[in-house]
Amino acid sequence: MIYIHAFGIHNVKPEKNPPDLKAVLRTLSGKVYRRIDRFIQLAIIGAHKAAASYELDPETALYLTSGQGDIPVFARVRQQRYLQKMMSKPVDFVNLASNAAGFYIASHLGLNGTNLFLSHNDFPVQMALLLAQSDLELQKQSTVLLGGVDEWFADQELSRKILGVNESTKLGEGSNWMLLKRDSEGAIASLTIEPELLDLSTLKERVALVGAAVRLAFSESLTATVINEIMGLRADHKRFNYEKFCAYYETLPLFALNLFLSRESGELLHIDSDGERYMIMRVGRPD
Amino acid sequence: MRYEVGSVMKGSQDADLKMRLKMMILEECEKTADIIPENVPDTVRLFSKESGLDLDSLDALSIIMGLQQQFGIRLPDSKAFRRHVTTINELADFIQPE
Amino acid sequence: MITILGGEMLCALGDKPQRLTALRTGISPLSSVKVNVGGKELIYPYYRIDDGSRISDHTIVTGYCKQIVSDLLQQNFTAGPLALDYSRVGLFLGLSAIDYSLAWPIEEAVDSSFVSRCRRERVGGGYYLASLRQTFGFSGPSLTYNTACTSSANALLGAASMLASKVIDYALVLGLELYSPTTLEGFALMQLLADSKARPFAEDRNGIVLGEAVSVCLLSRDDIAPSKWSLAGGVSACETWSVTGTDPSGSGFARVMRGALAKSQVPPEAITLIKAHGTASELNDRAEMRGIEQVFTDIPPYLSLKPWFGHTLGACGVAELLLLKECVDSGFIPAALNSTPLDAEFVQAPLAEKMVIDNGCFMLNYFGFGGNNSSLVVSKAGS
Repeated sequence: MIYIHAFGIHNVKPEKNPPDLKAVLRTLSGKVYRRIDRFIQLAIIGAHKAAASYELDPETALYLTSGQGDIPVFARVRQQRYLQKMMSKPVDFVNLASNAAGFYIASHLGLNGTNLFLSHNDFPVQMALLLAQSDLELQKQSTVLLGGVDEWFADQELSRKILGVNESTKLGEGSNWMLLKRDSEGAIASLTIEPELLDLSTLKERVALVGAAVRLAFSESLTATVINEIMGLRADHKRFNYEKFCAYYETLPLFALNLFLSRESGELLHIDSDGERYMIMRVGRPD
Repeated sequence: MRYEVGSVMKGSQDADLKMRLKMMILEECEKTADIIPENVPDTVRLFSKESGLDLDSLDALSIIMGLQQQFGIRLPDSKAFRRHVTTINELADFIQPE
Repeated sequence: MITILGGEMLCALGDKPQRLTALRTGISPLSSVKVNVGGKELIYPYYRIDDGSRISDHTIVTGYCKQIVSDLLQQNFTAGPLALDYSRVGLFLGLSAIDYSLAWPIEEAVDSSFVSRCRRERVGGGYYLASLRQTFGFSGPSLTYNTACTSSANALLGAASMLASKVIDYALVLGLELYSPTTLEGFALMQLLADSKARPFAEDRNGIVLGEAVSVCLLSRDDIAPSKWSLAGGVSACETWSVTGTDPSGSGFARVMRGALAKSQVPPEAITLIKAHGTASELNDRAEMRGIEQVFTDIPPYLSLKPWFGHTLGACGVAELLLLKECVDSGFIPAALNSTPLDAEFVQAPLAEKMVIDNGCFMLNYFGFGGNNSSLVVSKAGS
């Protein structure tokens, strides 16, 4: 078990155009940054919300996880090269290295610890948290600032295709962060990532054992049938509905957990799926 | 847009050319929010501390690209650029020797 | 203790006997590549796995990954892959490119029909491991690392964590770097590429030579699968001096080397040899040497492996570990290649003569864009 000491939510449901983040970042941090594209702005905003008011140890590790990463800069560079037949800016090439985002967050927050850019097709949040849990429990790290960043990409049709989601899915964007420690003192909540990828029957066995006070949250990838089956296991389980506050992006599970922390107390069980197997995360917030 | 050499004066005497250069540099280096072109000195080395521009090697590359795209000037080596093209006046004379 | 059981790789040097021959003889199979820089086609030296096409079909990329994983499993689990509990195997991948799976259509044809032609298929950095999970049936955790030149070195450290915390019993750690026009154009535009050879630590060095590699390393714990080789420890840290460069004082590099020694509980004098990052860029080479001088009173023998098969960026973490391991397992470490005349600023030259050695404690350095620095310590016990 590890502990959440701070968190930050940046979650948007853009309609037509993605909101201008430069202004948001300037208001938040009072600084003007050059060379950073929108994905990096998004990353800094979320990390700032989670950690700027916290006295961070410079050795704090930064784990940034994402579904697609900075796809817009990649698309921009290729379009300039092949369609507009012009050279891309050197700055764009630098930002193609995904870990540029982590570099700018580290500069912003004064960090010089481990700095990772991680991804996973199905469980970007759980896998990154699993690494953080291992590193904290082994005392390889004393503090991990972990965030999920996914940017709303203007080409919605292309976005849906490369995300593998259907045409009616509404897309959003977010940068949701947690400050994690092994130490419980002063913590907001506890967090446990179950490392096993469970099949449905094992998942049901686990959920049936969970106490009545626990709320259940489901990721977008669970079908309504499965959700109904799980909710039907015990009459006393209640669902935590975060869905109305967001549109789809791949690191939504962090938003779900953080939203729970900002609004509720008690325990939350979050269930996610890759279509075949399931992963469970538990957050416990004292009343 | 390519800068058309319309005048016949030496670059360092051409206020219009120098203003365009300064604007290009500030734009390429994303410094327009911090510095106005009038405050970019003509005779101080651009890559020195004294210029107040705080430029690094990535800025050198960006300026080289700006020179290429806006002024049609090819400067292949960023190190040579940082060593040789030292001030706005020298850069202007390089673009427009007379 | 984290054990290193074996590895497999595809690189310009060929198969394992060919790799060892190249390392023994100092012959490197340098090829070339065309790079479009601002509308002009330039030719740069390049190390390629083979002459096959790359970007026309992204299944080629997954094909390479599947091939080496399949070879590695066959070599290490003679009872057949079924002898492994696949839910206890973790997959880790380091790559520098944002995404080859998306790269191919965008790089080949960006036009208005692209979106309609594009398949509805989840792509992204996690694509390759998802594909391996599907092919082989691995059902343990997996994670893809995108931290430029330290990507697969950091993946090794992540795998070591999950092994140590007993989340998994085995880890397959992959490093992947294949031809990508975007990467090559970026390096050319940034004026980082050499025009002939990679000459790390040499006075007349003039830049990096890039190369391809697909590499995989099998790790475990000594209670599950003992081995003479172990990953003693390592540290990855970020310096915020500059997004593209490092503090020339070498302080950022020194910090991770010191950290790696401390985490591994190995004193500096116990290091047999340093596998330097040695990209042959002046800033990197000099900062690395300054870092080494700060950490080691007596500088151990050192060399860069990049003159043999290029800078394989995201793959070099695993690929260079495997090359070093193959050499030591064959009883030698080659003399440094292309490193004379020595940079006048250096007091000690890289390894001048072949070292006869079959065990030892080795430091492996990896430094990358975004201030991302990693240093690992691996050791092989004597018989």
